Amino acid sequence: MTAEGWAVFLGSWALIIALNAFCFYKLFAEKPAKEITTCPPPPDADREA
Amino acid sequence: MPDESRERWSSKLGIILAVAGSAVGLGNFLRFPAKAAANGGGAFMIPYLVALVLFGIPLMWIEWTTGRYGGAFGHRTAPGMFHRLWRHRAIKYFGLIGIFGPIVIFIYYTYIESWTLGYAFFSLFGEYAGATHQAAMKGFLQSYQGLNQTHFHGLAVAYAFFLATFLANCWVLFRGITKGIEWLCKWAMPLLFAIAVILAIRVLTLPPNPANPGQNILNGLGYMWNPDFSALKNPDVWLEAAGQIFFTLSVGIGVILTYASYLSRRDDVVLSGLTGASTNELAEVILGGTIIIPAAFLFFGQAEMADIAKSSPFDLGFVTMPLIFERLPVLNLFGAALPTGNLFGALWFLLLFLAGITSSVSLAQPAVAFLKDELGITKRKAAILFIVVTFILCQPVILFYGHGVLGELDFWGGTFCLVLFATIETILFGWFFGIDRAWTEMHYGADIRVPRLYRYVIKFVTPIFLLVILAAWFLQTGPPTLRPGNVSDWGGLCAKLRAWYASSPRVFREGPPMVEFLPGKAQDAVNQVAQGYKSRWDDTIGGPRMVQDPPIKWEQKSAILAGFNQLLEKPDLFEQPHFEDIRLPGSVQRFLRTDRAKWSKEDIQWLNRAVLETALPMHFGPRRAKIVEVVLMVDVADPDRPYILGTRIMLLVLLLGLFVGLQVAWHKRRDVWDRTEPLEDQP
Repeated sequence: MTAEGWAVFLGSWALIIALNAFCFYKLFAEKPAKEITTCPPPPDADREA
Repeated sequence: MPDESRERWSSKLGIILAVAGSAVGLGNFLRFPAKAAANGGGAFMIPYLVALVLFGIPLMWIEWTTGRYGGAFGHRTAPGMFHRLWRHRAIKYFGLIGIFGPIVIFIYYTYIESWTLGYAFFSLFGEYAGATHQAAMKGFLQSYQGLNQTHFHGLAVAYAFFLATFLANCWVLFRGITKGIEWLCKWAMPLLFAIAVILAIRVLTLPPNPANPGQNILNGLGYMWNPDFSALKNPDVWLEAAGQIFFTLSVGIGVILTYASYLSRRDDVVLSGLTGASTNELAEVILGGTIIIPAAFLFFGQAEMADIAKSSPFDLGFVTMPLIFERLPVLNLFGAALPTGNLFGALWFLLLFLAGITSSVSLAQPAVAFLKDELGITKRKAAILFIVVTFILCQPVILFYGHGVLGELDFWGGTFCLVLFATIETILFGWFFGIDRAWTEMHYGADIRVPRLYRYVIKFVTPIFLLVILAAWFLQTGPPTLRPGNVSDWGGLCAKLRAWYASSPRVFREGPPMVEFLPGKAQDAVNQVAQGYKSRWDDTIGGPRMVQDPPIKWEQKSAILAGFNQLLEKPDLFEQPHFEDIRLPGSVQRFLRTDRAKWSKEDIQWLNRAVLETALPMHFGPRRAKIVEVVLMVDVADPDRPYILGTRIMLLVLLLGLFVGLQVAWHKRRDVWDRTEPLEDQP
């Protein structure tokens, strides 16, 4: 395996493992009761085609 | 009417594992490593990651958001969701693709899934132990599929494993979302990852091949990961990477829409979508990229890797991998010799089976949800109706396997519908629903915020990406699939067939023109077509340039294709003087040294195909590579035309049935379709 091969191999692994770790950390991290700060989108009664 | 208190996922992890289970399939372990190795190795990861960021992840968010939004209005499937994104009378009919596509994939996917179950047993009990080379293993697979009688007599064994697999799927469907799919994925996904890790560790710790120490795991990893940056100049490599991202994430099918519709309005979709995508990537890049290619390199060496990397995912999974596991050393355990190959082979196929079943149950869910929630029938009756219909539709795939039925279903369900559906939903989401509303809806209840840049990515980049893929795939695979044999330059091919030796003196020794090998009818057709063809030598291209190429008739094409079909049966084709100087692949050369008396009809077909695949491109040149492909596509050409037409009629009837079902749903649940506010926002 060449140096470039190692770089791509380890880089890809690091990127994907880091993304996965970030996602699962955020998913299971203790969160305060969810406060919905944004409003739901408006009703779409006026969008009849 | 259905109960609108609605089924729900019991936990956030449950839906993430279900979506990951849907996405992690056979392609993660078979298709990705082969595509990467054949398209620039490590360099493939650059377009692959670009495609993931620019359209894989955005598509995930689009589907999760649309699904949750549609679910809030009481819809479970794409027709209702499309109606929510754009209140136009016709748009719901396009949503039918999101139910039709998964059913079509389910029809053939369960049969392939059943092979993995069968092979897990064969592996454990050493059923294919006598097959020691690729041709023999391929013969075993074909015998299992009912294409020859060398190992199995008829389809009884394959059918038994199909029934077992189908019943397993039915059982999960009967139990519903929480007790069925969520329960299955919570068990199967961790088990799948555990098996994949065990296999990856086993492969990474294999000692070098004693016959050739250069064939070691490090060089195997190098074959997979060493980047060939010149490949990035080839647009096909970018298309392949985009296609791989598309297929691997299970987007564009309609499954994620249905799964996300079981979320509560306040549940997060941004982090969940990202987690589902990243879990799939973990299985694909980290585990899928570590098992097949390095192991194949160690056992077969550099010379055969090009063939292996270009072989179909089926061949990789069911021909190459069993051979590799068979050769794993015997383990001495408490004084008893345990052939570890059997154990690891069984684990490999169990891994594929788990990947398969978590995907197949997801493919069934849009149709079951449509029957239950849009047509208002009970969960039990919906599952029974789906099972009966799909069981009937599965039969042609099993009984006429060798006649191109599976390929036809894969084109419509697994390629065409996917890209079309994803393109429509992305345009609806970003443009008709409106990016402002879409952005607000996406972030409603979100655990993380998406960078603002993605507003533009979702609105402009993702649809453009999809339109380019749609156009490219349609041009590449559409015409040959819709009209087999429909390529240009037949005249050039026929002219070459009449002047085999004269135009290639360096490559082939003198001998009779190739056309003389073909049966009489094919010879006549070649001669007729070649008479109308005229070319002149052109120095600027260093070869002949066509000046007159009259259209070829369908009957002439049929005769030529049938002629090549018969040529494949010729036992001494490879001994003809035309083929003496060509350099055949290593696997073919090794096969030629085996006992000729033991060659089966299938072995000879495989050999002749390999000989022609090597010789024809050398003779006709790369410009006519497409025509060579078509000529060798004999098993999906004319003889199978009735089966292909039958399959298309079957699909048309299915589509018509869904259309009628949607009309009924539209009239029966008009109050739901006309609802203007989400259920949870109502006081």
